[in-house]
Amino acid sequence: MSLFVTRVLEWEDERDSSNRISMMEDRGIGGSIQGRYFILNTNRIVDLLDLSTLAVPKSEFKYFDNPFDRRERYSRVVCDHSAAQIIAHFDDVPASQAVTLPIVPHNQPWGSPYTPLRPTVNTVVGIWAIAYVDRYNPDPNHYVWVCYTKGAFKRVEVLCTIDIGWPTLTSTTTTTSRDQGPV
Amino acid sequence: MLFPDVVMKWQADSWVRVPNQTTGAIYLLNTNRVDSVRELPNHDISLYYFDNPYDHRDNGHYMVINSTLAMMIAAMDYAPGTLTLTVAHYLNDDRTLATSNLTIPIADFAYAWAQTNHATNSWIVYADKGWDMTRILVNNSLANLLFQVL
Repeated sequence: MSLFVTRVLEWEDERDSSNRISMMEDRGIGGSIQGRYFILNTNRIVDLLDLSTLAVPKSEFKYFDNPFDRRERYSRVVCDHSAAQIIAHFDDVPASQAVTLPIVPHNQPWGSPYTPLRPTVNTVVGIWAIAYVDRYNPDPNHYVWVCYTKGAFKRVEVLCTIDIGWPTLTSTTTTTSRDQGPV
Repeated sequence: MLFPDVVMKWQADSWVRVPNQTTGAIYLLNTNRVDSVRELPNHDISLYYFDNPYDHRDNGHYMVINSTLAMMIAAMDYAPGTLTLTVAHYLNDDRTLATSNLTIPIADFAYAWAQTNHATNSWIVYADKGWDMTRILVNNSLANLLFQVL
């Protein structure tokens, strides 16, 4: 089990109306790279299929935000890794089973009169609980969204400052998830 | 990995799991049940502990233990010597009856505590996967249970 960074080309889910990748990112228009970078967890993956061609590595799999919860349906994910690369990630041994999340209070990095700026709160979770890590569009160089699960009970999304031990998500060139691109 | 610790607070079952929150109570716990571990100002740590993380009906219970964050992370990273526990289970939880060997995957182990007045006996609670919880009385001390997985 390990976390790995990959460029997701398609992510069809029911929870977020398949909007985890914006239309601009989906089409790769407006100068953006097609797809969006995420950190995923191999313990969420089943039904891995290789879609690679000679020149382009690609694979498809079912991905569960919370694999322990029978109420949770899977998503269909297509990413820019070949099946062999994904399998190699399955065999990776993480440096630690504990992940320290520097959580930003109120999910609000800049503060406001109602939610004054407060220092981050270091919170340790098991690596098995991490569902995925997504870029924070307003400030991708310093923050990420981390989605993790509390047992089979529920899913939590928190804004964190970037843990330098993680692979970077900042190499994407797109702007915000609300960008829809030209019609 | 299993780890013994002094639990100072455990917000479950109407707080009865730790009757005296001044002295706490010794439990054998499992790192695969912990969530959101944070260091407190007095250097104890708080966390949420799941009896059964495979069951969506079970939420985490707030817990404070007399340990450090570094010790918790070390326990999470410790590779157990074996992935199973074999215990001498008393039939009907009756100490006057015979025991039979029972093997439990440590992934299902929830927690254990020593029986009052009989420290060589322990109560073990483990999960029947995502379905249910089972509590049994065994003729093993907490130290013996921990020794099996070191």
